[in-house]
Amino acid sequence: MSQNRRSVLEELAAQLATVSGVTAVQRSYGEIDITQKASTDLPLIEIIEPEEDTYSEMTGQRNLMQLMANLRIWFVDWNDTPQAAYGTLMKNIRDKLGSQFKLGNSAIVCRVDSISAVEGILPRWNFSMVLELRYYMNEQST
Amino acid sequence: MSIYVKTTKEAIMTALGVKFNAISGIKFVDYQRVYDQGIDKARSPGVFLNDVRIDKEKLLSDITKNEFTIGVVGFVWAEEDENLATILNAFLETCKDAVVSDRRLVGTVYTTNIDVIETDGGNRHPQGVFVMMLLVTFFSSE
Repeated sequence: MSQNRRSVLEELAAQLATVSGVTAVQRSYGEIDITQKASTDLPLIEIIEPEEDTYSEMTGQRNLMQLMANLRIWFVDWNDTPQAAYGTLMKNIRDKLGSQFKLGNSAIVCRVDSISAVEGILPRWNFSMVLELRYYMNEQST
Repeated sequence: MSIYVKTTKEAIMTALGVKFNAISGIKFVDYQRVYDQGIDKARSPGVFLNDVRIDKEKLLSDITKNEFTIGVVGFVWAEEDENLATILNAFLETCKDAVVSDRRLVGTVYTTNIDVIETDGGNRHPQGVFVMMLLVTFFSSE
């Protein structure tokens, strides 16, 4: 089940798109300009281009790689303290990604490493979630 | 507290005018004081509602947070046997109560704060003036 960075991130985006309540998933190579998004585009999960490391070198030119994927979840909530919406979104994402500890047929490990507190300005809020993904790398160019 | 209304500064000025017109005993409410518009006994007590400045912060393409400063210029006229300071303070208190009794302006704005109140130490009988700066936080489409 060898993979590469591209296929793992594609699978991550596909899985996140099925999270209950999420409207859109977008990969970003810098920071997205959230002010260009409309309220109807949110909740939006931003996959910030992750750091990649060799987790373990193996025989036969086959390495176990690790991606630390940082997600930023944007949502609109008109309550002064958006704890309810924050909690629901966080739980839905955790349930989707953390329930099997792997990512479909791509990454063999998918763990939620950390979750930030919610921050932002009423009514536009965001929080971050760091995922630890591990996969067997193939030699395909990514 | 939930805010679902987007409004405009023109609508806020109108709503504020309605609020001040409802003050018992007030004889004059107008917008944007101009120097050639005299203040006389027949129009006292009264207020001018001055649109001072607005600071905008774009949150999303369809939601902007606004900090709107309004200068309320109030004036009174004391009779010969009346204490000017007492008349001025009583009217000032009435105006303050009108603002704080409904900080959300009938649900159209997020909140209204009294930023500063200035009274003129040089007030001379029979005319007295005060300035009350309001900071209105509201949301708009652009």
